[in-house]
Amino acid sequence: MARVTLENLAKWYGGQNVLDIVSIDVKEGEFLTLLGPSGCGKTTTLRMVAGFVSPDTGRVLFNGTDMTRTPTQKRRLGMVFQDYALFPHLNVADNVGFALRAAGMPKADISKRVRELLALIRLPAVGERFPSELSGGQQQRVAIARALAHTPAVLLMDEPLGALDLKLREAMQHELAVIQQKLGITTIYVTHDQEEALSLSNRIALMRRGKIEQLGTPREIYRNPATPFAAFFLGKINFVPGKLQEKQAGAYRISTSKGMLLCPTKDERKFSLGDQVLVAVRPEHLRIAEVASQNGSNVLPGRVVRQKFTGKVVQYEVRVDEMTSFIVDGTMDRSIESDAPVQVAWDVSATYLYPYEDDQEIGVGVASTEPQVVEVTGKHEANTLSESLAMT
Amino acid sequence: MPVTLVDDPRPWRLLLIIPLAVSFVLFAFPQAYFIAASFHENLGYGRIGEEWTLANYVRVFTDPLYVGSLLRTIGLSALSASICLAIGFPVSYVIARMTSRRKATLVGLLVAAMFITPVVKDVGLIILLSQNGVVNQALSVFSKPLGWLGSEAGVVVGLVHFTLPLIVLLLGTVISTVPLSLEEAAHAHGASRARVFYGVIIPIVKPGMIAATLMVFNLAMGAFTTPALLGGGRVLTFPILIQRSVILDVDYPFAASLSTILLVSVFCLNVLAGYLMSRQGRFRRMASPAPAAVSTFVKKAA
Ligand SMILES: Nc1ncnc2c1ncn2[C@@H]1O[C@H](COP(=O)(O)OP(=O)(O)OP(=O)(O)O)[C@@H](O)[C@H]1O
Ligand SMILES: [Mg+2]
Repeated sequence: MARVTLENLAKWYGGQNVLDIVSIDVKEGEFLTLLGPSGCGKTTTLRMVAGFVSPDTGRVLFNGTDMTRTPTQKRRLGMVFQDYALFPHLNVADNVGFALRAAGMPKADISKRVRELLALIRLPAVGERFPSELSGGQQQRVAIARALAHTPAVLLMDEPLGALDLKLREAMQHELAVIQQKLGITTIYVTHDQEEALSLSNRIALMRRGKIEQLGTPREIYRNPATPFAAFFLGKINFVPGKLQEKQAGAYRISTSKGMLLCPTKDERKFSLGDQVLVAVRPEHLRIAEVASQNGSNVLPGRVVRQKFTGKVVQYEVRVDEMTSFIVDGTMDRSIESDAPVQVAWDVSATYLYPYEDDQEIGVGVASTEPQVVEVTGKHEANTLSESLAMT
Repeated sequence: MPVTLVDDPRPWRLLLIIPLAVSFVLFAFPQAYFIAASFHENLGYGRIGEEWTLANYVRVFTDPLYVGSLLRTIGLSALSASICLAIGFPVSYVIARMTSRRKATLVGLLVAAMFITPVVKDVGLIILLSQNGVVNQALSVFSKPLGWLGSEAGVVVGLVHFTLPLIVLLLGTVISTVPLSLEEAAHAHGASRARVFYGVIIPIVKPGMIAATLMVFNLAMGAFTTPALLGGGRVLTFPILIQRSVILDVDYPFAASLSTILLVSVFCLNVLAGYLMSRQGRFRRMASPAPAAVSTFVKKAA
């Protein structure tokens, strides 16, 4: 078990700054997830910890010892690759026992340990088979077993559950969490599945464009996203641009195209009057009503333009003005007709406020001709997210 | 009524009839002709007798010159193929793992080098290896000038020089089928560089490596120019003896029997290598996972 410290890591690939000063201190036994959109540098960071890529600047330390120049095989790692990387010439048992053989463990002990691991990944009968005779999901589980066999000091996983179906993935997530806690192996996990990140991690490093956007526990990041991107990437979020009009006791008054909105003042960020700001609120904090019956501080009138049944909730898309649409989570027992005039309301305390910045990737910006429908392209819906958050 | 399945490969196999016919006319027919000729008596002046006889073969196998030459040819070819493998493998590995644009340039140069006629290559070598050539001058610190030309060593150097570009190309293709992530996975799980090489790379590329080495071996077995020029008439390999019996002795049946023996021994050596290779169940399984899956299935059912 080791503490892993990433210190000011940076990497350029032919003029492109792929990693831009990444510093993370992974505690002993911690499960840290690198989360972020495709191409943000997750794999590159992981490969630096593994020793496959040397950083242009910065250091990688295990337990305070500089490992930046230590060859991979001396780092006591377990690793699950994005493409499994199982040895095609070895059967499953030999694949799983690879690290044990490399470490010179006696044969009998190896086969005992291999049997344990195959039972753990729920594939007790495949030891004799070759990787090419397994399904993608089975291969992935074998890759996980191979990485765990020798109880590594640091476990590195690059989207290890990507190929599994939902049920199996949930089972494996649970399994991984149990194994990791039991063995207390320091784990760095790469995923772009937000739900997985929320439910598995002790902490999440949310990355974007080679930088760490926010580092914190799943709750911290979900409840208190530090940037609009953090709010956008974890869960769902609605944005409304506005201008800071007035500072009241405990709240800012923001003028938007549809009226005044209130936001709680927080200490960490200071805004001044007249600032361009971005108001944000999550769909699950919104209430929708057909009549002008809502009171409360933040109310916007609108019109339902679309609704989407997602299983647990009905997702309404409410057009607030030409430029802005809101995603609202509604319940099934109360149906609202499309095109019906509605009111969207939420509590002041559920409102986030950010300095305004054009960012078309998250649906904020002048160039967007489409109404700003903000939707995270993840497989999981916002409410399952908050649920998985509640479970941790 | 016959039902055609969408995945029925048989209609496509009909296309193979054309290459089969061409091969038959171009290869099988002349081969059969000279093999038949080897079982007849030489009547001199290129004429061939009517009677069937084994006399040519008896002569080959009772004359130490020919038996020795066959063994020497096999030995020199095996040696040069092994040297080619030893020198070629690291080079192929480096080229296969290259990612820059220089890779294409190097592969292009290799292809060009492969197509240079052995005559040209050998003339270059003769100059280098001659009594006062560059090589002997360089070695003069350690020893007296060595007689490379006209020696087996010279022939081996020539054969290696002749076949090296080919084996580098062949091995490069084989090695590049091994994903880099396999090496990384091995390193990550504690394998040293040597272990990765002998435990991962070699076992995976082994079938291709053996095939490439065999090709080089076969080329060396049939090589005429190189042993003729670098052997200077003193290293009598089988192809040289064949040439002599055709040109000097004008004994076509005997030449045909020598050729048949060369053909059969090369064929047998290749089949033997293929057999030894396929006895390693690993390779068979990798090449065709389906039968292995069936066998596990059968095992379970039993
Ligand atoms: N060897 C390389 N040469 C050049 N560019 C590279 C190399 N490896 C990665 N990159 C670039 O670095 C950036 C980050 O890549 P990385 O693989 O770390 O992304 P990622 O976050 O793992 O993405 P994904 O979720 O798609 O796997 C990408 O823009 C990629 O194109
Ligand atoms: Mg990646």
